[in-house]
Amino acid sequence: MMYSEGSLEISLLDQQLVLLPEKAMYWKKFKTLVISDLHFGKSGHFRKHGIAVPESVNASNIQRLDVLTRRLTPEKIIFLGDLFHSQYNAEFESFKHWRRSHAGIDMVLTIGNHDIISRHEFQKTGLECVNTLRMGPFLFMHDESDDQLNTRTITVSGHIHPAIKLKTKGRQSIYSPCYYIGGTNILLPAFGTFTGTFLVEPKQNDRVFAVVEEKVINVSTLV
Amino acid sequence: MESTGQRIINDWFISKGWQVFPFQQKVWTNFTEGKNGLLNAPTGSGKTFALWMPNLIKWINEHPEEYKTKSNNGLKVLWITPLRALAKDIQKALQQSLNELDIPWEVGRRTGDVSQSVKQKQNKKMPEVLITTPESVHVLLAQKNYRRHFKNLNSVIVDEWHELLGSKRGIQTEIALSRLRGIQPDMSVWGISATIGNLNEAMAVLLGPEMKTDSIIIKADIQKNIKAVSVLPDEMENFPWHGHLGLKLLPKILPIIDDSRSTLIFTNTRAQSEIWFQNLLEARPDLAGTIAIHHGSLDRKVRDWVETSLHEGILKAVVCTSSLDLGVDFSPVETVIQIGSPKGVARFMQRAGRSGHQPGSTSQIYFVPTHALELVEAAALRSAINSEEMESRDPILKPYDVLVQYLVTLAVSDGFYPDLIFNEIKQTFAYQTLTRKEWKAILQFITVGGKSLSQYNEYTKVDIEDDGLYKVNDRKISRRHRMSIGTIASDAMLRIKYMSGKPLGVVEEWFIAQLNNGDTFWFAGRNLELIKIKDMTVYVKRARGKSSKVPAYLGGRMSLSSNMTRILRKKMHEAVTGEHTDVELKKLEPLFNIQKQWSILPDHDQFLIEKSFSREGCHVFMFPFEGRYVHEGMSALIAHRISQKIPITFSIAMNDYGFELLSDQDIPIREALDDDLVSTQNLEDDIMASINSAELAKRRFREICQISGLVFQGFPGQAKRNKHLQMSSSLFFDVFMEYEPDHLLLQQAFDEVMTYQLDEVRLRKALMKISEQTIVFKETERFTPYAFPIMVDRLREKLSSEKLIDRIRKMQQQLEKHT
Repeated sequence: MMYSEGSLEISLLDQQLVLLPEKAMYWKKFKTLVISDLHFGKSGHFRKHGIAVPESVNASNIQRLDVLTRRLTPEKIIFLGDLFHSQYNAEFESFKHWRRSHAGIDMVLTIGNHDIISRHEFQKTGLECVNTLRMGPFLFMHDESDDQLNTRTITVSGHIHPAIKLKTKGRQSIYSPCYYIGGTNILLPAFGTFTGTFLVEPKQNDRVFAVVEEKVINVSTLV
Repeated sequence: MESTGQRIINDWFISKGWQVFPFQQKVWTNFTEGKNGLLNAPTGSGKTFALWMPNLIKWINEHPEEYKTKSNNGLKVLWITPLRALAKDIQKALQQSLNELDIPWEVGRRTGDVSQSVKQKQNKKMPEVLITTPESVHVLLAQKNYRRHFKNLNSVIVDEWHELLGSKRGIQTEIALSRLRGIQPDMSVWGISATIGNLNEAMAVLLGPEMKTDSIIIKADIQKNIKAVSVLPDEMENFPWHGHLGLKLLPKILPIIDDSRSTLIFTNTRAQSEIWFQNLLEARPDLAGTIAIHHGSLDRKVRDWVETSLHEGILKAVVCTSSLDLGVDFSPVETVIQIGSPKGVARFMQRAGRSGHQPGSTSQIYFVPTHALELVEAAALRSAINSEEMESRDPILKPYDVLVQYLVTLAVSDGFYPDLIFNEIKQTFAYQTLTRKEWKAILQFITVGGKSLSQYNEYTKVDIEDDGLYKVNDRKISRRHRMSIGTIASDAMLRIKYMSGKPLGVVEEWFIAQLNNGDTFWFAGRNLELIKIKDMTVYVKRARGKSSKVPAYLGGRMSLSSNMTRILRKKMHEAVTGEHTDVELKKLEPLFNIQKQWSILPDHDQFLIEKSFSREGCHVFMFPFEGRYVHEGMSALIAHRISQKIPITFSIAMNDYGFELLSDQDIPIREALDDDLVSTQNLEDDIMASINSAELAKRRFREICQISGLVFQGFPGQAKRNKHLQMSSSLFFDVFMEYEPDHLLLQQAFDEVMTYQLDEVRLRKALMKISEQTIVFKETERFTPYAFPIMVDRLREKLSSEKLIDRIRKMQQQLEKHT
């Protein structure tokens, strides 16, 4: 089986979407992998400013991305912004190297607030840079609040790094990154490690899928 | 033969109508003979002049012809104090003495409160005397060519040393002294300390383990009589131990305030001080303008006004935290009220010592319990005072984070040569056992980032120059470092200002995050409405009507000293046998009866365990009476042992009497007891395993991250500029655990847990004591008086051996059952 065991397939507007426990989404119809908020280079950014975060953080991000790509063999990858955390640093080179090793895959980046590196640099790497991307019934973008268009489309976005808090009996709570599907928006969890999370507060009828220990699980009734 | 200086000072004392106390003379003699030492003297005893005068005696003797004319002498006396409040009082008193003696010295202050312009003037021309805090000394060391300030330094006086000892600020003091000694090997160092159980050690810590010159401890022969009076409720009606007693006793302290010229009301937390002030004002609006509030989060000007008004006798009462704690000889109040247990005899006596004027007179302190069982602590406190048993303040040993911060400080200013600094550091008490290996690791951390070069590619912090000088060359890093010098871990803070721009103080970001525009909250003794948040500043205006939230600072909890727990157990024993004379225990009889009825009142030879069920799940309470810190470790150990037998998740709470394990499923406590739950077998291994599962190290790591510079908060209101460099300590913890588990700062976190919470020696002793007691197991219908205060505590640890996914499935199943 191509997808990991803990994946969860959902249907939205007649599209089959696979929510992966690796914290990325796979769109079956278009063989497209959708990934958000990698923040490559974040650890390097910290190091350049005198805060000692080991490079393994970044290396492991590249490695996870590579493993996922090789397993799913998508035809296209959409990066929903914040692909790269800051100014150019050496970690950008490892990303360039990775991109070249998958030259046959179409890669698009919807520019995010952290993508300070000029579009030109990204394009040199072979990434198409756009503000938003419309494909099928979906509109892909970095941050949903940037959406000035009509709401008859479902937006697919990141930026938030959503997490959910589940309160259980015994005064315990569980925090977990999640996919958050509100009325008109699919919010993806951050793919990168070392990115931090932000608690979302779902409303009635929203769907929440927590990523827990390599499984994606529907917790909509528990929030 | 009396020296000139001695004579002149004596004459001056006489002219003021003062007497030179024997202990003061003894200090003056030893000081002028070149000895270092420690003065053990309580507040209000004349301790300040004991250590101030000899500096002047020396000055006069060294310049008998010119002592009245020689000015601009550079910094000669450094006076280090833990608190910036009341530094003004010291400054005033010292300056006054100089003026009256015609000595042209200046006394300045240098703390976080002092304005930039004043500091710049000082940089150009240092006053002869500088009153400062440990942090501010380090900030001075971060200045280019800092040595120039200390060329003429003669002596360093460390005031309230007992307060700094045992904290990382004490470490900062030790480190600063090592550098100053490096610049001025012949300077005098003296400490002033209240009475604690380990005075000899306290002196060794201050002066270094190998004190070069003679050193001496001088005890002030002042007997301070302290009378502790508990404020008692009239009736312990139904369930008096349910919830907070404190505010219900407010009417009882009103007459105390009325009858006294000035009163300090100490609370243990900022939130409590706000709540009490608010309620005081509501109960007695006529007191408005004559009562004030004072705590560390208030704006400097607000605090200044309170301190000045207190000194001038304008204020009838001030509700404060430890911000006004430290005693000065110059600002006594008439009455002191303590709200909630101060947790230790020394602190209690110190606060009591703030009251009353003449040495020899009785200081009176009123104690207001915030929950019923605290009355037992009140009785215990009185016992402790009477028997003059003081707890020790144990020094912290070899914390890497403070050393890291110091080295970067030196690298930021003039740079340092490692060998020289290593030798200086080794002469401090804290770092006397620092190995070359550890030193190398620390140097590696600040230059490379960690153990392997490849992992820390592009890391910039401290560079090594061609001649071996370690130096920071990046200006942004320098600036950020200077802003974060200090050892007090804090949350991200926002400034609070009126729309006019007038600042009120700072408050935690997470508190404001809960509020919307238009919400009201209580702060700085005022009811405020949130107007808007802009640029990391919260703009407010005064609100009408009843207020709502008080920032509930989820601060750390204090623990009863082991000294006090011993006395506490004695009092509990008296409660059991009924042979007590304390009025507090008498008042508690109805509560003890309830405890007896629903469970038992455990005696020395009994170990009580209570189990009950509620909507929350299954609760198990244990009461070792060993104090909070021991319970932190013991509860983690016990929870861990149970979790190894079955998959289970615990939420854990504790206080000085005992701890609670709470789970959503039944806790098989009886079976566990049969299975060596409280035995000392395998203790070492179990302790190691508990550290990880209870996440105790993670909490310690937060402070370590801030001190060592991994996490940077910045000034309140400026966090936005540095948001791109913020990451939670929790994430750092996870990253290091995964990629560099032998990281030195991670090691420090684990070491701290082993020393303070999971100390094997102490835990072993506690467990052995339990093994000698009879275990009494009670299944109770409701929460007993003993259990209740623990159960309601929101500050909880957690420990789990269940897979997260299983916990969620359990939740779903439970939900299905109910639908």
